[in-house]
Amino acid sequence: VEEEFCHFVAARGASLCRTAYLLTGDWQAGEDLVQEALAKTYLRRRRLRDESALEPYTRKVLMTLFLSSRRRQWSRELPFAEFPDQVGAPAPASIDEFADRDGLWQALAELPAQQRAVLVLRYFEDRSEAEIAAALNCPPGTVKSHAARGLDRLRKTVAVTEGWPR
Amino acid sequence: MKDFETALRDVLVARAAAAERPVELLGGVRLRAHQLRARRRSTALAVTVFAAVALVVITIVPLSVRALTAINGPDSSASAPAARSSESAPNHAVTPPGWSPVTYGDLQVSVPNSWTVRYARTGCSVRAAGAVYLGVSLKSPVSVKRDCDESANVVELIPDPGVTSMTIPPGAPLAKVNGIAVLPVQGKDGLLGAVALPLGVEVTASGPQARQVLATLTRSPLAVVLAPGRRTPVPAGWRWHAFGGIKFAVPAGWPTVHQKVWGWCGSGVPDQLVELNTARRDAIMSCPDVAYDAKLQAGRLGIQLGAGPGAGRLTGPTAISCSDSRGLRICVQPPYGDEPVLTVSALPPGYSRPTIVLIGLAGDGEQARAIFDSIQAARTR
Repeated sequence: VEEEFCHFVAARGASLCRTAYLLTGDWQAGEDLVQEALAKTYLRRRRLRDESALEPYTRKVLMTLFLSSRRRQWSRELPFAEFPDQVGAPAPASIDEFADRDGLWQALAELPAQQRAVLVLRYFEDRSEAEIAAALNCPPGTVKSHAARGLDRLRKTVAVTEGWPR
Repeated sequence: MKDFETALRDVLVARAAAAERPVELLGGVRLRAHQLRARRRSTALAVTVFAAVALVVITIVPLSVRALTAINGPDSSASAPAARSSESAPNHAVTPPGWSPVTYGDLQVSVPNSWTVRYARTGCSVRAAGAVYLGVSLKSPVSVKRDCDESANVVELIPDPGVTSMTIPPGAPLAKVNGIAVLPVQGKDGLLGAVALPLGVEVTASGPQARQVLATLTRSPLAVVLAPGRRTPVPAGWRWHAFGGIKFAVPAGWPTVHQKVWGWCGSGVPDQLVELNTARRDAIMSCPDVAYDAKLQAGRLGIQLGAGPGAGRLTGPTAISCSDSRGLRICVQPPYGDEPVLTVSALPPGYSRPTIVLIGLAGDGEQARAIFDSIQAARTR
């Protein structure tokens, strides 16, 4: 792996992993996603105009991989780190569901992948609508509607369970 | 009270901070880049070969059919799609750098990376400095490959016929090669051979590198996985997965992919990957019978599981052996194709269809054995 690419991974890897974790809800799954995105970027690096294009390209690949993995995923059975051997333990959707049952976080996990991606990019990465549209490869209008629907759904879910103001 | 959007921002930031842990990405990136490259190369090769075969078929078949029709009348049979070609640990030290292991049943030999590996159905289009025939003998009168190989080095691994066709030197003692008892045999024209007595395989070699190849003879990873003995405990740090009513453990770094179709051209299972397949149908694609080089044919350590109806094609009508253990009916199936893969069917309680497990066989076989031994019934469906 070339030195320039190593520097990029060392500098931006953790940030990419944080975003991927918020998308997937699982650190290990997020790290897998980031590695896959970086591998694809690495193979395409010669076609990118310069070093500054590495991060936007990787983030775009990350989003594409996340959305396509959600489309492929079979909802009935998911891999997880520890098998729930305890009798009567609730079946987890992921490790983090066990770790924290915070209402807003759970509600976010239940959003459709595109709405979740838009909200993470907007509220965690502070991206503009145009930047989000470029990352998700969709028109800005679609970003707006995903954001509005996602927020609306979160408000409704959380309001029902915790009495948040709507 | 904070507004909702600020609360959401706070939750995301707090969550990301709480979950953060040190990351080491470069190793995984390197591995995945290598896998992506290999996948692209093998797809490109398959497409090229398929296109070439299709071109030949398109050119030749109409002429042949026309000729046949002139003699026999119209032929109503549809053309069938080509079938898919498919104690002690192995001693790694016997595989020299630049060579790759080739396995047949319980036996393994190593040959230079560039040599081709051929099976009964493999075509003869590729010529290399050496060729390894698995389960098929150039000496066999029924072999279709008798005249097709002009490689300087030829190695054959066939089931031990009981009485070897070659001359056993008078008073020939039993020898040991890498700990395996063998009966050395010698044929005409410098043909060297050995019957690996406990493993039931006869291996013969001819050509300038025959002796070097025979010196690499050792047990295959399959022999290690299926060897009787205690169950291998799951190594520390491995990750459990649940799928299709079973659970199993693999090294923690292996990524998981979900597939809804069967069908790939190449060899074995994906490298260091967990593939969970829920295909409802058999693969519709058939692969050309090409000879792979030894490096490409070498086993890879990974696992594929099929829980959909489409996985049924991976097992034959008769299993090699079955046992009721770990809450499952576990059957070792005959190998699917000619790949270095262990095929197992595991029927969980209450299920009408078994989950099919393909475990890649590579290295010393110990990791594959640990994966195999970890398979057990999942408690929840």
